[in-house]
Amino acid sequence: MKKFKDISEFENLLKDTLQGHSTPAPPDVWSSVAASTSQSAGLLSQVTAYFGSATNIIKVALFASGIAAVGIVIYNENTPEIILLPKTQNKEQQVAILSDKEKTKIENTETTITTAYTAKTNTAESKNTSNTAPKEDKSSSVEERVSSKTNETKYSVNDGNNKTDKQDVPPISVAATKLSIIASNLNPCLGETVVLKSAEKGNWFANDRQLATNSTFLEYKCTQEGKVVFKLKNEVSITSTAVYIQTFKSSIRSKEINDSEFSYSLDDKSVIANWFLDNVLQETNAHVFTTQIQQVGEHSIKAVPVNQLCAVPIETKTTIRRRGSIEIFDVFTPGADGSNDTYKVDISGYDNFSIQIFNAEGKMVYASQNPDEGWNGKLYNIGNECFNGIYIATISYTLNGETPQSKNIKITLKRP
Amino acid sequence: MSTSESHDEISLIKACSNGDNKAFRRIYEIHSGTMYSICLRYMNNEDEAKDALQEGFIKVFKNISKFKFTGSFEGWMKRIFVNSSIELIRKRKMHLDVSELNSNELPLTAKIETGSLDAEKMMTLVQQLPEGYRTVFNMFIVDGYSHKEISDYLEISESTSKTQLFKARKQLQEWLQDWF
Repeated sequence: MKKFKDISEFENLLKDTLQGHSTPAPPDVWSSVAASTSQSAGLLSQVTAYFGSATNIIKVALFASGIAAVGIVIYNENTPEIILLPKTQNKEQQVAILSDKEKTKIENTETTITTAYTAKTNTAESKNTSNTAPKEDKSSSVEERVSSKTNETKYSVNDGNNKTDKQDVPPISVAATKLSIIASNLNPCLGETVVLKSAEKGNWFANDRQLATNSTFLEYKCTQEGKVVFKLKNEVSITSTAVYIQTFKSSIRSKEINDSEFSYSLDDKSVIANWFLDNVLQETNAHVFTTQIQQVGEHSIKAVPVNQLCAVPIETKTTIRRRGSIEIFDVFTPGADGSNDTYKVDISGYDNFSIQIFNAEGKMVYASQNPDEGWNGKLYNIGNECFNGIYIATISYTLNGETPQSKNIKITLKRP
Repeated sequence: MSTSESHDEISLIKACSNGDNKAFRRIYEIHSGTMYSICLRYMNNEDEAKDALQEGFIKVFKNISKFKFTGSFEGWMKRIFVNSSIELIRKRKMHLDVSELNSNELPLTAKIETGSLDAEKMMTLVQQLPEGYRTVFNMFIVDGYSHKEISDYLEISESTSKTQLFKARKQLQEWLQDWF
C-alpha cells in the first residue's frame, strides 16, 4: 500500500484526481435545463411557428439567415472581413425583438436587416461580375442561405478587390466553414504541450512559421510566454486560433530576523505556498515562512505555490557560515622562554570542548574542559615534569552549528 | 465524457450565444459530467447536486455571450457551478459556525484502510466531510480559490476559512491514518 508522506501529498493527489473527475449527469437534468432555457433558445423554431403563413416566411428566412450567419463566424486574419450585419444588430437586441410578440416591431426590424443584407449582396455581386453563384432563392432554408453566403465571401476573397468596410467589427467575418481548430488547452502553461486538432488536413503555422504539412493535428511545445496564433491552411481556406501561454514568476525574499532565525516570503503577495526546508515540508499554505537554521552549510528553501495555475517550485539557498574555528598544534616547548610554553588549542565559537592528554603508556597526564588553560608539560599542570617525547591528545569539540568532532593528535614535547 | 473532435469549441460557444439550441446541447453533453462531479463534491446528496447542475447550466446558457475567450471555457464554467452550488447551500442556510459541528458526530465510515485510493473513494471522502469543512476544502484544495476569495464568497472571515480547512485536513488525516 502506498503511503503518503504528509497531508499535502495526499491533497495534491486528490486535487489532480478530482479536478477532471466526471460523473454521468442524471438523464432528467437536460430536459429541465432545456425547458428553462427554451424561451430564449430555439429562436428559429419559435419564429417559424409564429409566422406560419407563407407571406411572412421569406422575411423570417432573411432574418434568421442573418442570425445564423453570425453563428458560424470564425475569426480569420487573412480573410478580408465582410460585415454581415450592422453593428447595432447585436444578439441582445435580436433576442429582445424576437421574444417580443408584436408583429409590427418585428417587421420593422426585418426591413432594416433585409436592407442591410441585400445591399451587401448587391455590392458583392456588382464587384464580381463573373459571379455565377445562383442568386438566392428567397424561400430557401437557412442552411442553404448560409452556405451560399459563404461561397459569396470566398468568391470575393479570391477576387481580391473588395474594399469592404472593415473598420470596427473585426471579429465578424466569414471564412470557409470547413476548417476549424480544436486546441487541447487555450491557456497552457509554459513548458506544456498543446495538441491542436482539425477534422480536415492542412498546413499548420504557429505565428506564421510553418510547423506541419498536410496533417490533422499539431503538437506544440510551449516554449515562450505570450500569444501564439495558430493557422491551419489548405487549398480552399484558412482558419486560425490563438493560444495564450502563461507563466508564473515569483522569487523568494529571505531575511535573517536574528541569530539563525530566517524569514522567507514570496515577492508576489497573493501567492501562498507549501514550504520545504532541505526538501522536508515545514509549512503549508503560507505566504511567509519563518524557520531556525543552525546547521552550517548550504540549505535549500523551496516554495511550491498552491494557488497559481502555472507555478513551478521556487527555490533559494541559504548558507550558514562556519562561526567557530579551531587550530591545533603538534609541537610545544615548555620552559620560560615565553614562546610555545603551554600546549593550547585555539578555539572560538564553540559549544563544548574537552582535551585529554595521554603519555606513550596510555596514562593520562592532563585533562581539561577549558581551552584557555593549556598544558604546561607537568602532570596535571602541578606535578612532576613529564619526559620529552610523544604524547597523544584527544580533543573533542563542537563548533557552533556543527556536528561534534573528536580528534587524536600526536604532540611532541621538547624541552631545550 | 465524450469530447467532440469535430466541433471547434469556439464556434460552439459562439453558436450557443446566438441561441443555437443544438450547440448548447452539445456543450451540455461535453461538460455535464465534469460539472456534475463538482456539484456532487459540494452538495449533500444527488438530488441537491442535480439541482445545482441544472441551475448552473441555465446560468451558463444565459451568460455564455459574456464569455470573453480570455481564459479556458471549462474554467469559466467550473466557477459557475461552484457558485451555483454555494448559492444553493446558502439557500438552505449554511452552518459554518464551528460550534455547531460536534466532532463526536462525525461519520467514521469513511475510513479507508486497504485497497487503492481511486477517484471514487476520494469523492466519497470529500462528500463525507461535514458541510462547513467540505465547502472550504473543496474551494481551497480542489478548485484553487484563495482564503480571501473564499471569505468573500461565503461571507466568513479568512481565519474561519483557514480553521475550516484545518479541521477538514485533520478529519481526512484521521480517516486516512493508515495511509501516512
